[in-house]
Amino acid sequence: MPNSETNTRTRREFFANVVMGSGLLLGLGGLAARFAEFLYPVVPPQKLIKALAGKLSDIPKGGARMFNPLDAHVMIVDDGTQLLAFSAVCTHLGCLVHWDSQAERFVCPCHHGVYDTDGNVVSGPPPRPLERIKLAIEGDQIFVFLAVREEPT
Amino acid sequence: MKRLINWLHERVPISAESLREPLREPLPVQLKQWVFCLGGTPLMLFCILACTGILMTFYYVPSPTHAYDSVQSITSHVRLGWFIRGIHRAASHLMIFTVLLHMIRVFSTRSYRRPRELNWIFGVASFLTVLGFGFTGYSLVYDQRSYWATTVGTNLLGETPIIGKMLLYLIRGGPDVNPNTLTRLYDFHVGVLPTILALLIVSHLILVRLHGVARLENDPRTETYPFFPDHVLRECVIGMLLLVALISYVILFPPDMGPRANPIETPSEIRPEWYFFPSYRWLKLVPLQIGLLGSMLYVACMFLWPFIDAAFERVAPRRRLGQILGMCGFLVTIIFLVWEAVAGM
Repeated sequence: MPNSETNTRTRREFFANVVMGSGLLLGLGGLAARFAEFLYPVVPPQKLIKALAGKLSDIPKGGARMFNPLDAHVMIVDDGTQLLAFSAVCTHLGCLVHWDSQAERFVCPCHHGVYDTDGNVVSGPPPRPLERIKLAIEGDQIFVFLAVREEPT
Repeated sequence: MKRLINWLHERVPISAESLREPLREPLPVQLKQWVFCLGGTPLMLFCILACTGILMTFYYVPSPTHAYDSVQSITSHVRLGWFIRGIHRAASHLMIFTVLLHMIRVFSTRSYRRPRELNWIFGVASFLTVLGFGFTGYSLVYDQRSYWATTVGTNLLGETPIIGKMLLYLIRGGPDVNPNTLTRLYDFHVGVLPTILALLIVSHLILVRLHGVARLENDPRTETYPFFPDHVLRECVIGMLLLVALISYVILFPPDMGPRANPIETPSEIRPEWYFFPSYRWLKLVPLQIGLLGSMLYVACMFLWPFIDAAFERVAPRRRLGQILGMCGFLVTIIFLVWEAVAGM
């Protein structure tokens, strides 16, 4: 029975190749996954920290000013009745908004998103209002509560 | 000398005869027209970019604290640094322009049709890779435009449905733009993207050789002419003109730099390079998710264009609906580009 022997051998070879090929693919896939894992950064959890932003006298009456406590970008605005704090990061694509004192609006220079003094979108492409930041006034000092990531040690 | 040739032939057993045939490949006669020779230009520019890029890596420092100073040093202090950087910068713009011209030529002559669909797909992938080079390249200068382009560009990637966050973290090396971001962009610019582009170019060329250069629709001419020396000489002339144009441009307009990157202030006048004007204008006009989905749809249409065109041809064989639609898409892109260019003047 030479033919059937040849067939059996061929089938055996075929299955051996399938097993070896699958093993190789799984091995390489696993290695690629480890490479991707290596590239994926470790992101520490966020922690709420109270940080000094500035002084009351730093905010112009009816105007706004940016502060950078803990490397964050905080816009504090005096809307005539109270002080409000926002993240100055535009919710569209992450540029920093400017305060337009003439129009009394926050304007993003990148894609022309415009927000009012409450942080709501007035015009342009931003998908949501500016992120509100909790603030506290102690004497003449303004403190803000920031979500900060701890650097890995 | 003969002994040396024999020694070499024994170790590299390729005969001159076996090389002659592929070199004499017959090309359709339309390639004698200059407009049909645009395909070789990006390859020449790729070589120029690789050489000047490698030279600059001898001085460039990919760290946020040193990147700007090192580019300034290349431009102002290194011997002929301004020239090398200028050539690299000008060649990168020209590369995008010539790949576009080549794509427009292929699109207008419908050379992407069966069986060359895969080659069109490789071409579109090459175009996107070249745009990736542009983006990562000007991010490395670390001036204001670099920093904010990196912020906007990576945030845009982060908005991609499902895989956005993963892409953002992989490219930035964290949730925000941080010192690791510049290193990663540098790795992409000098390692990942060149490898991808080289593989795409080789695949593209192999397919061109396997299928032969596409003949024009309704062109009765059957004459051919050889790849070597006729066509090679023609490409050499283009290469020389290219060098003259690049050198003249760099001498007339030496490379400059914007103000140093300042993460606490987005400049009031900020725009990307001209090749991102259409998408920049588009993103100003529509809400973010629509902008992103529209851009993804545009890219998907570019990739699948040979199949879309073939489907239109099946539906209405004589009307050329596919070409009309494609021309409309192209015109809208040009309108957005010019609109943004004029708005910034």
